[in-house]
Amino acid sequence: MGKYIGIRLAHALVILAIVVVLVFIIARIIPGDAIMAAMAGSVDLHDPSVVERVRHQYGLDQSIPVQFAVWLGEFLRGDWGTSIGTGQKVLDMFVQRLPVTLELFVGATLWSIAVGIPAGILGALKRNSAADIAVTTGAIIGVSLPPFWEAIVLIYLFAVLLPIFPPSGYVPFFEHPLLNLRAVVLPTFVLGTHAGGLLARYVRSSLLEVLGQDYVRTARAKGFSEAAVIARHALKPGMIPVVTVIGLSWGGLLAGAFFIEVVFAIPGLGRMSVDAIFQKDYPVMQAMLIVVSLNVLLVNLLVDILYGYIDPRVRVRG
Amino acid sequence: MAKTAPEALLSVRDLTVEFATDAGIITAVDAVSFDLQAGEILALVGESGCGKSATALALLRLIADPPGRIANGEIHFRDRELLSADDATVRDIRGNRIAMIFQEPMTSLNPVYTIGRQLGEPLQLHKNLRGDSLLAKCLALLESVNIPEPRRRLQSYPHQFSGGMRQRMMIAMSMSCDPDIVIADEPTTALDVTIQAQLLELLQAQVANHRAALLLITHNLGVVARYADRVNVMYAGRIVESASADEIYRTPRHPYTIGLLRSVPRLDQPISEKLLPIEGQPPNPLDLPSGCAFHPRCPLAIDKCRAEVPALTRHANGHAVACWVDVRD
Repeated sequence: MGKYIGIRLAHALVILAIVVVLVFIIARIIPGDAIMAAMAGSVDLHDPSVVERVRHQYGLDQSIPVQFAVWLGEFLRGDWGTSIGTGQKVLDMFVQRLPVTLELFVGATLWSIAVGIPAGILGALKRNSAADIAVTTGAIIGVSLPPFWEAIVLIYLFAVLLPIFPPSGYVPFFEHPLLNLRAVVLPTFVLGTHAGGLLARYVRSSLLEVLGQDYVRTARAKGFSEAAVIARHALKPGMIPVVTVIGLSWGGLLAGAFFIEVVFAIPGLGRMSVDAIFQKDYPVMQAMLIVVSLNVLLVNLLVDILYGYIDPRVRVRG
Repeated sequence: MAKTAPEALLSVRDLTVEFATDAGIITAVDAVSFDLQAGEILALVGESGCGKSATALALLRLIADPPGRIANGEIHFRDRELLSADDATVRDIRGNRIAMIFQEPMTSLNPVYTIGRQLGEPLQLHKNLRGDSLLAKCLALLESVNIPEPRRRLQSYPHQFSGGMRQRMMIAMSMSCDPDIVIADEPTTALDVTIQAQLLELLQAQVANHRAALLLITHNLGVVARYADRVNVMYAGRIVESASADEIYRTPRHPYTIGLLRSVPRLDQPISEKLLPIEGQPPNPLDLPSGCAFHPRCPLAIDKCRAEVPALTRHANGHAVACWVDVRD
């Protein structure tokens, strides 16, 4: 198992290195010039010496490899530059907003697991019953609902008609835990809907496949009750593909966070990214891309490790 | 129809198993009756699709429903009738009084749990063994089927076992609760020919040690000759001939059995003598021939064979055959 984790970790590091290089290159080749855009109102852009001075100040007059080395060194030391849009330190912006978005991600994943897995199990066990049809239909609706529309409907229902939850806004957990939880119920539910529907479908089909396996028949032939057969022999192998779906969904949550954080006025990474993109805020965008990639890599690493834990055959293949 | 011998451990009467398919209902097992005596080895022989595996699964009510269904019959085991018994009664017998060994050792063990855990389950369930006594019993079981380093092997996963080792572990597991009956559904078909004999020897020795009866499902007449006390030959869901293994080899009375025996190579047979395959194809289960299902392939068929189904009729020496023609004529 240790060797298996080592190999997975090495893979992740190689991919991270490639991502870092690509991110740097992409930021240099996309059209438009942040300096020009940022300075347009304040300095005379027709004066080449002024432009030159500003470019020098930001190190943009040096060769690309030198820029890369300087940037990477600073990045590793925690100097992620200064946001062109807000003038804040980029690292500080991330440190402020990351917990907010992480809370949304964790909440959304918990929702999707809490709803999707039991629903999928129910569908598989009561195959072709009314409950199963409800599960599969609900799952399709969950997967295909546009999040911004779902958000608006839920705000109308549970914040306007029945004012249980606040319509928008965010309170940090350590400031007021209860208000924080009330504020994140709706956004995390909306964010987790897609993954929940996906999970229900995967759990259902995976469990149905497992229930048809010979080893499940062996378990029945031992004298186990149907509930014991499922608990002892079907659930764990049935979870193998499900772990992948949870991991993939986690990676995809950021796209949802772009909408959700805007609709619910939540100060997280999603809104910061949207702002950074509109303002061509290179330092923020670069850092964002790396953090996003790191997020996906870490989750994949975790999924791989969980895989090895669940399925002993994977450990050998490495 | 064979009469119930008073001492029969297991009596199957008119067992009928149906499967629903898109094209219609298949009667995989058609009013099959037989007895299994304590301690004997009874072989159920036939081509694939003749209903022998469905018969084996039906004995423990393990037919997947849907698409399968036990449509009719009685299964008497000791003082119980299994088809009308409640689920808890049947579960108490499964793996405990009647154990089963399946055809595919590769897929019949759960890949995500250790051998030790799976081996110990019947003992936990039926004998309430836990902890050290469970471990000791599991070690003894693996040793009894000649698996080296049993302590280490209990920690192994099925993929770390060869096919032969898995099947030996299955044999050990089937014996764990000292069953009265072991049902082995083609236990060696998926394995190398070289280890088939080894495994069957082991199985034979194990059932003898535990004084268990063995219902051996196979398509291999060589296996039957060597290990079985009695033989039931199945064709198209019915038992067409039933006799002691000696009788079947010396004086087969059903044309299908004769055909089967002629199609098997024998060491004492001159090389010049050709193997004779049975002409034609096994019948389509959705559209069985009228009368005796074997008549389209039978060289001795008469008009009556096309019209009426022959009943399994008992003759001397407990030799029963379902045929309108007396092949000795």
